[in-house]
Amino acid sequence: MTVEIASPPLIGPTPAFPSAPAPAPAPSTDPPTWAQRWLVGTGPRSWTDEGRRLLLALGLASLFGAALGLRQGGLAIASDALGAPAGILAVAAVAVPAFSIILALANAPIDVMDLASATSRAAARAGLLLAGAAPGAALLAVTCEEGSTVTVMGLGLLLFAGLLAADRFAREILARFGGGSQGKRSVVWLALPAFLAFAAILAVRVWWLALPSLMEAS
Amino acid sequence: MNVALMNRLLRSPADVARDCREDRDRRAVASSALVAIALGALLFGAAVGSWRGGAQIAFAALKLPIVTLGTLVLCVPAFYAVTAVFGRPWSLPAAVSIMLAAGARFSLVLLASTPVVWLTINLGAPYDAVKLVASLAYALAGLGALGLLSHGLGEGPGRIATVVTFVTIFLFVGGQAAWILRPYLGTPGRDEVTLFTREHEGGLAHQLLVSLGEVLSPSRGRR
Repeated sequence: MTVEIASPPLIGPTPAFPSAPAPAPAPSTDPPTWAQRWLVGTGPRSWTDEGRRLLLALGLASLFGAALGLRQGGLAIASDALGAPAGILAVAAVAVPAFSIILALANAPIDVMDLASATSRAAARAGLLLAGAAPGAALLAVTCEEGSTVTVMGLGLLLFAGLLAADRFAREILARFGGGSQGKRSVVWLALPAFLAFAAILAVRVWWLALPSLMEAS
Repeated sequence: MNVALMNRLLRSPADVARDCREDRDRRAVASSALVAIALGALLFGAAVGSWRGGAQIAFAALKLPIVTLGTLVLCVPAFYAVTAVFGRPWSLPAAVSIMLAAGARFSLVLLASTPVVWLTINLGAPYDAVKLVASLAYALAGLGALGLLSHGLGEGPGRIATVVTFVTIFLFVGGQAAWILRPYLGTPGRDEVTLFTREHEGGLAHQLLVSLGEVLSPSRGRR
């Protein structure tokens, strides 16, 4: 079975990359919902807005961490609440700047604001999914007899949220890169998968270290 | 409970889901859905509890609505988030009303399954057979709810991913919510009726596999 993954519409008129997905349906005239405001954005981009979006994503992810920490209770709630967003923060603070240097070396037509915007939107997507799953995760963490169920559920959701964030990030970058020359596009085609692989390994490693209670549960 | 609305819910789930999305009759849908969810689960629970009889009928009738409504409450944030990240950033009231409508459809199918479960018990079916029949009724009800959710998502990309992701979360949470409030049928081999069991019996998936094995090869009988 093929599972299709869709993204909310991107901001502004961006040139279409040859293999980029078809644009989403035109937004309605209704006022934007809360999720629309944070996942898609409704106005011109600014550093403040992108920073707030990233902070919100981290806060939402921490709800999932706190839910996992309920299994051990006490300080584990606080430490896991810090651990879950740590993977997202690590990618945003370490991997994305490295990627921006590679893109700059190739003189790619993507500025830092593009990268910041793609990063914060991808993080918001992951954070919202984790926060939405937090109440269910709390029930499982508190009541499951076998710790392995909690480990599988917790890690599975973290990895899935990371996958969604990566999908969103890649789509934004590819959509903004349509106007580049063949050589520059080749650089992105090489650099983007490498970045995503590095980001995935980094996030898993950070979660592994920052969520010891999740690993011990099994 | 608005009977006409329940009829629409069964016959035209896409229309009801569209009304929920577009803020038409949301309040009526929500209130009728809550009544339908509670009533369907209560009667189904009573039928399931009749395997043991006595106080177990009341216990199961009380617990199943709690499980159903509790699972919905826990899964509403997940539904809101999953639909949003897959390209449908609806308002929270829209997500809540669609969830409630799907829950009502679920409960109405359970209500339809209630006589089948009761008859199975009345014909003297063993514990494991009744458990499987009840599980099948739940699965059927789940498919009914899934139909509404799928229609509720409307056209556009990300529909399958939304359904698969949400159903996975829902099955985890719903299964665990039902598991922690067991027993519903009663504990096999014991005459006493208990509201909750404190025994460690593995997980829900493990128990379903055990029951399937019992039905397929009774000679290995555990009970």
